[in-house]
Amino acid sequence: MILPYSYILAIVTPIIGAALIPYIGKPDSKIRVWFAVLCGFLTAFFTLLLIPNITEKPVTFEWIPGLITYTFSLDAISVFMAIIAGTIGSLVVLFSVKYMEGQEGLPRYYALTLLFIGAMIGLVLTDNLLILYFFWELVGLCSYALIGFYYKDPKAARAGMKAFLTTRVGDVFLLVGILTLYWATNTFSIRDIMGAASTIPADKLSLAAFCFIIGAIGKSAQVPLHVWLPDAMEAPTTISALIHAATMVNAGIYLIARMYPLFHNVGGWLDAIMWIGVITALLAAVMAVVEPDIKRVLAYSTVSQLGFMMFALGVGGYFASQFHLMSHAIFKALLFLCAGAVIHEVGTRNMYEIDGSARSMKITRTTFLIGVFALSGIPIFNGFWSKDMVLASAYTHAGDAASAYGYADIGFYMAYLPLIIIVIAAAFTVAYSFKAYWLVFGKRKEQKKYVHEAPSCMTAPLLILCFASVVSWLSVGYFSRLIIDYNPMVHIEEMNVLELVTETFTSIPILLTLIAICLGLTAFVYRKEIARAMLTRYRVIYDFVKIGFGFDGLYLWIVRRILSLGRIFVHHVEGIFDKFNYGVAYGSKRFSASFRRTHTGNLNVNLFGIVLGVLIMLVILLYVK
Amino acid sequence: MGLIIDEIWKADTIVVLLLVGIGLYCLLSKGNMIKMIIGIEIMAKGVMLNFVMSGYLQNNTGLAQALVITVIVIDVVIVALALSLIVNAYKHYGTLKINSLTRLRG
Repeated sequence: MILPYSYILAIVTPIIGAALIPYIGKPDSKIRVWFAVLCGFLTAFFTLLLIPNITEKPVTFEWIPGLITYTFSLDAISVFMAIIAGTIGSLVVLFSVKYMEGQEGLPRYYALTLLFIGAMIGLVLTDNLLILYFFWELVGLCSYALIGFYYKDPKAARAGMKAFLTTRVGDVFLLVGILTLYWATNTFSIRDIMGAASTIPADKLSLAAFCFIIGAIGKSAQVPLHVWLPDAMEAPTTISALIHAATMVNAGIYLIARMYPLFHNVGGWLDAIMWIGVITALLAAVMAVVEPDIKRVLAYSTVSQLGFMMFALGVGGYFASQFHLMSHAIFKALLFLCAGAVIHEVGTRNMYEIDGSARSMKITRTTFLIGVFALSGIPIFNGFWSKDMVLASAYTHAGDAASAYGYADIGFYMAYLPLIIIVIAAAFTVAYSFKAYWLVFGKRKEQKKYVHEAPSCMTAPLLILCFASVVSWLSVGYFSRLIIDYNPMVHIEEMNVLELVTETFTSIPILLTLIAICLGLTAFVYRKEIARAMLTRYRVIYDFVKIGFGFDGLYLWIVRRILSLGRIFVHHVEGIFDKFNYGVAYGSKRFSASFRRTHTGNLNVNLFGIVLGVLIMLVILLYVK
Repeated sequence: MGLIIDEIWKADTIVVLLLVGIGLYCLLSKGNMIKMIIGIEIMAKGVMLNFVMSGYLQNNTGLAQALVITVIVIDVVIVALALSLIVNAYKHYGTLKINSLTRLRG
């Protein structure tokens, strides 16, 4: 214990900071901005201090002694998620100093950003499902407010609303799941619920399990509730980085990982997660290929990578999913901040308009390229190791599942289907990320315009994240050891760096990774031919992908139907209630009006009333003893 | 002695009732603000007389007199305040009729 209570400080620092921001310094003053940066880095510092404090047991803190006790869960995955939220959040705040300079509403921006980080840390560090739900909603609220940060732009305001409402669908189910667990075990503590797992009736357990999945797919933007994330790109790019790498979307994966020991025996639960993950990974990767907006490409890429994590959880690759989450958080923050730097300097988000003009931003270009390497899983970058691990667990899982069938059986091929789809998704990942790099930074015959490099407080976070993208996989040994030691409910194999390297390069899944990379690069090389074919012969498919597989249209249709139903309801049923209310109102009005004559406003009459009252009281006093 | 006290008591009661009655009548019937103040004053005098009498009856004349003197002083203040209000009301509305001050139309 280096610093006791650092777990409380890690939650409280950003939240108090958020509350103080509006009162520090004058509007638009530098002090306020740097205060926010200080809060961010203090938070990161406190979350890092949690590492030596990791413990298997729950830590209780008497908030109000004898009345409210707050139970913290400081095991490996909680602390790990808190560190991601704290450190990447602080880098994003630092990046914002220049990126958001001169914008309107900065106090709101910094306060909400810090609150966002604090809520996420609170979410992952608590052991109580009800408090988890509270922070879960707080994260949703902050995302709503920050996505709609440019609220004067109706598109941004609508995007914020869409994110809020779409995640709300998941939240309702999560609440149902939490209450079901409470109903079955009479406690909100995750640890106690897991202890009492054997006493929970099977039907309640599976109800809760599937409700938790829906909660997680809402928050983590999985199919079919992924539609809010691409629209969330109306937010400032820094917020996109925060949502995609550090806070919001990781919450769903965290929730599934946290409840994994409780639910993994529920029939069909893992399969459901696996299929959701694999479908999401493929659909989002395909949509990313046809997207011209750089931020939306990255958004679809996040959806796709989250699909990889879900998929990994579904095939039993618990550690692979957490490891991929870490890699993804780092390289996706890097990619988003690079995109932010480009947008800041070039002034457009459309990659066809940028058209290579960002090539002169040397640092941004290099770091973006490394981010692209990590995202597409090129060897030695962190994305390679984690994605390979995901593919390896998928390979093992498919082998296990297929062993029950003969070669002639359809089930045999069904068992390998998710593996094939995920490899295709990985290939698409390579294709769209290289396409994005080429469109934004690629070499053109003539440089159209010269763009300045971003200022140093923007490039500093880029360099830090770039460095982390290259080396973060070296922590694999320490990380797996921590999970083994402090999360005894999940069973993973310990790995050290040497084992990871030898195992990765000597097993079959490396071939899958390489196939994916080769496929993706081939598609990238022949992009012109493919594009021509897609635009002419396969126009139908292209159009279908372009409208996002019709999810938005479907939801719009559903919402319209519900609205028209509501209108019918208003028309027929509300009239009855209205009549009753109007009746009461008119009745009381008429009743009061009957007293009007007595209120003459004449003082003599009023005095007469007083005298009469006194006389009556005297009479009463005389005769009533 | 008893007889005299009895007579005095009766006479005093009649006077008190008269004074209060006149004051009340004045308050109820008159629309002029000055006249209403006069009515209040007449009522107050009746009440004071009642005080003195009850003090005398209870052999506690000192206390009664002290109270009455206090009431007189307060009365003066009330009259002064009321008159100043009336003067201002007169300046504002141009009339002394109390009902013309009514703003509320029921």
